[in-house]
Amino acid sequence: MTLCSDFQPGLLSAILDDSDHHEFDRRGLEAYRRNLEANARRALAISFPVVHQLLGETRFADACRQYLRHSPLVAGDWAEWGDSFPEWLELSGLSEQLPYLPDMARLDWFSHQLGRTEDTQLNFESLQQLSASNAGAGHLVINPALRLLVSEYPVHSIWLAHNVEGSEQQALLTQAGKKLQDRAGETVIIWRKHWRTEIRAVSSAEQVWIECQQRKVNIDQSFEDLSQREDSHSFQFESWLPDAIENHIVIGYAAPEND
Amino acid sequence: MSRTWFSDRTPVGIGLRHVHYHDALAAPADIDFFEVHSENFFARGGATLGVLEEVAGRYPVSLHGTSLGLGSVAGISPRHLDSLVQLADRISPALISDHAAFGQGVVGEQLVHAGDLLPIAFNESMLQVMTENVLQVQERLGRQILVENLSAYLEPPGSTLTETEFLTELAERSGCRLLVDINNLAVNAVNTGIENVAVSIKQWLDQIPATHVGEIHLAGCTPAQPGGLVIDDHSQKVSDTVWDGYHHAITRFGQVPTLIEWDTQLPEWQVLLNEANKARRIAEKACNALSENSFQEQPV
Repeated sequence: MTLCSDFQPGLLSAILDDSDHHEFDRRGLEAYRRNLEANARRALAISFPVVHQLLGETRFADACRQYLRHSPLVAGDWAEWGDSFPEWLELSGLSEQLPYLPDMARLDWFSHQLGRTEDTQLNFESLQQLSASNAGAGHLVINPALRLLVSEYPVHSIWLAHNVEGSEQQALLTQAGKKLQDRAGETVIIWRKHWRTEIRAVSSAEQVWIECQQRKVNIDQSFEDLSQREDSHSFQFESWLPDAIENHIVIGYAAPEND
Repeated sequence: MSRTWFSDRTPVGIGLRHVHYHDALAAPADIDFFEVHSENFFARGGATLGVLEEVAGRYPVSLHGTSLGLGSVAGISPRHLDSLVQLADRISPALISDHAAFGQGVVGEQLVHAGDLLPIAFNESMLQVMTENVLQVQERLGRQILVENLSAYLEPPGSTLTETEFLTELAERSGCRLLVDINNLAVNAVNTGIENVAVSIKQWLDQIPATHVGEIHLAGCTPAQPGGLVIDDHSQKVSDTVWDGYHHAITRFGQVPTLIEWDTQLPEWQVLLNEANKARRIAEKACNALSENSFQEQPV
């Protein structure tokens, strides 16, 4: 193996698999393997902090090692690696023990990605058009980075319990455990206000409303869709809108001619 | 936009890592520049990028890449290069650098990245690959880059040139400059069983033309376990051997921007400032010695 065109894929391949490769110096190869695994573990611990806590150091390191063999790094930026980790967890034995793990991983990944998305600005001028008589013909512009996760598990409660420290954590863990026993699913929205990632649980009525706006369904039609639901009374548009603007869930208004 | 340095002293910088963002911005430091890992700022927005923009408003910033893969036969990832160009446009860095290493290649039918700096053979064929890659990067960036010598944990087959011959030729063919990492020289010397590491470092430095050197890196690392390799983990203070090499480097290369690199087991901010001050004192001493020698050599 003297050509650099053979050496490079050969070394990469040897680092990525676990078998003995006698053509490479053993100590050197082991050093690169250890470094790769350490980098992978560090990267996933940053991108999936709640999963890291849920699994603990040993199981997390083992999961990272297996995932690395399954989905090697394809670009030089470790922060972009891990998008298929939630699906991989779903198929792994770990989700049999912790069935909510894949959804927690999805939430971790959304949160991680949110920290890297382009900064958005409120479009105040467009929001002034909401006072026009035909405002119902347009739709609200939802923060493009906002993600919605519908889960069979109390993901918001589990998330909160793993994002606080000290005495508060125990109470939140107990609360999350109770919801898990009760099989209480939660739907959450996760988005960024300025530089801070925000997360909160939403009712199914609010979920429908937000999804309508994301699909650019006009406000009048969104109200119509919402009214078909039994729980429509739980969504109060008048109080929701100022709060949604204040928190950058809504960042503007799109009049029909602008679509 | 980054300031450039106008100091008449050797510019000394610190590698800026996440845990020290607050320290770097809380109070002015006697630091000539900060160096960051480019890939940590490839995001399109968010707090981390915001911090870097704030730092760049106060200090010159050097963008140091770890995964461009300048020595990759598979070439440079266009997406990676786009991200670097975008970051450079945003930060206006004083320096941009990466390594004489490969990172990505095709395994099976899939392009994979090692997430690491893998060694290259020093021969004509690799020289052509690297020259082409460096030229491509410099053309996209519209500026010169620096290429760093590597600490390698195995020796690729097929080398026909020494490392210094290879790097010198690379600088001449591509117009890049060199980033000399003195700890990497020490690590390689120890790992290949060289007895007198200090002499080996000086010999290496003496073989590099002074005009090609644009930056120096200084770091320390964890000593090797018995029978094991020294890993360049940037986890310790700079060793005496590396300081000794640095003094020699300044006498050879002059007032070259110098960086204290510390990436793992990060110490208190003050420890880094102390290391930077030490570098400045050694550089000053080396420059004084150089002036005295020049003075003594003047004809009477």
